[in-house]
Amino acid sequence: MPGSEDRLRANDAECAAKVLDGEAVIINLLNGTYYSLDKAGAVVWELAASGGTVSEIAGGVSARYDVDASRARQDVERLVAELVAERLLVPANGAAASTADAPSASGNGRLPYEAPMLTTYRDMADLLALDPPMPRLEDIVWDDPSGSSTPKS
Amino acid sequence: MLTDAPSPARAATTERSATTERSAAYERARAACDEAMSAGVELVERRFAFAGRRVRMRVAGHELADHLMRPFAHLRDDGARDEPVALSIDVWDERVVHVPYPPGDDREPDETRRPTGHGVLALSAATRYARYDCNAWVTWLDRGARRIIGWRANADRLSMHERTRPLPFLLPVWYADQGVQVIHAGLVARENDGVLFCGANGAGKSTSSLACLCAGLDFLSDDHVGLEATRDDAFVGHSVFASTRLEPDHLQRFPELLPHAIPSPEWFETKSLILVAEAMPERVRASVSIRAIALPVLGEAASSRVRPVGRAAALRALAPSTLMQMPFGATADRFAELARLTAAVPAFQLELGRDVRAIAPAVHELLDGLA
Repeated sequence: MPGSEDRLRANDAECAAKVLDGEAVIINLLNGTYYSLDKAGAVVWELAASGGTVSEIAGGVSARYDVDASRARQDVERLVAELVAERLLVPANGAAASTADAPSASGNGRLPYEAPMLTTYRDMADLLALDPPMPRLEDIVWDDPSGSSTPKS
Repeated sequence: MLTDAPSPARAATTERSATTERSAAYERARAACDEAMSAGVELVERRFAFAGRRVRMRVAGHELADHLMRPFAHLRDDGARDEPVALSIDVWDERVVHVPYPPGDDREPDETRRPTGHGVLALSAATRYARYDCNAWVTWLDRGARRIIGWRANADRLSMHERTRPLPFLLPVWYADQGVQVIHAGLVARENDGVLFCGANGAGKSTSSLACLCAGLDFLSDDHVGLEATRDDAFVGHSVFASTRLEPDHLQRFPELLPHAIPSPEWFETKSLILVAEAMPERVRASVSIRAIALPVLGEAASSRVRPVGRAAALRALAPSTLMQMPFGATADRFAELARLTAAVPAFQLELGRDVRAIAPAVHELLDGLA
């Protein structure tokens, strides 16, 4: 479990993620397990993946959502521990937090708060346990021997 | 996984040497293939356009040519025979040409191998060569030369799988080299407006695609689609094969397809082959714009219904099965492209009713709503 001032980052070597409409979709590229985080959970992901500390993430959550700081911190610590255990987050060395494109409170009010929950989908991982993919084929651009571009009809 | 991924240090080395990598086993196979092609026995040559790229396919052996070329019939492009091609495919039938596959061990000491389907898929250390071999067939892809070569012991015993989707596992790698990601989805269209059906196996992609085909919509695929981003951040879907295999009870749901069903000669294979490009050639398209994503789910109602869903739901339906079921693993770049697709086009849940004839009207309703 990272300390409250340890910086985190997304484990880009093993996972890929995208936040769409306030929901983070994360996939483990090695085993096919995929995950979903919405609302405050998506905020936690964006802040953590971009180099935030637990303290900064909890501050970001309580700034956007109607939750007191201690509850936000408790929930963030729990969720971050889950994300680290799933190898979706790893410690970062010295990376500064960036501003996440997270939902903002309307007017001076804060958004209604629900404790963030990580939803895990292991159906693909179960399937792949029997039939795993090959090691990833990195994108290598092949030189055209003729020097011309790829012919299209 | 039988073999580990290359270590970072090895990967760095192999990446530098990828374009100059040579394989003695491939060269032996290539020499035999060239001999078979030059023998001139039952040689069939056709031109195709795969995702708009010119492809030349030569097959030595009429029956083998029949099996390998029919799923691509809608992609025929015999207009420009002297133009350079983006892919050459040469395959021979030993039973006809009497050129055997060369003796010797194809396995390189540092290649990566694993069982796949009924055979073994192998990738050379620097990833220039990919090979798929079973007992009675071997196929190679030389990514550097953009050439597929293949040997088949006997076309009469070609698997129904390859008669449905020729050149398995290796063709998607060539597509990827062209910037076209083969995704796990069905695709139908009205005029140029394509609706992509996404979901895991059993979600209803084939049912939805074939129901739309039978109802008069254009058909591109029920399972594999070539996805290509255009310069204006739009996406085009390419038909890879216009063929499918159906279990008998599934086939019964589509009476229009029944006369076109080709049963398997193998007792253990219960699925029948449907060559859609031959069955309904006027309804098969090569490429369309992707205008919407539909996520089929099996419902209990009589009719089918559509309702908007979030883009994240579409990404969850599309990305895992696409990324993890492709033969050479997932990459962040491929995920990012799928995320761009789901961000660019609206997504809908398509609740499939018990009556397959109600699916196409629901898709028409979806398309009407986009206008």
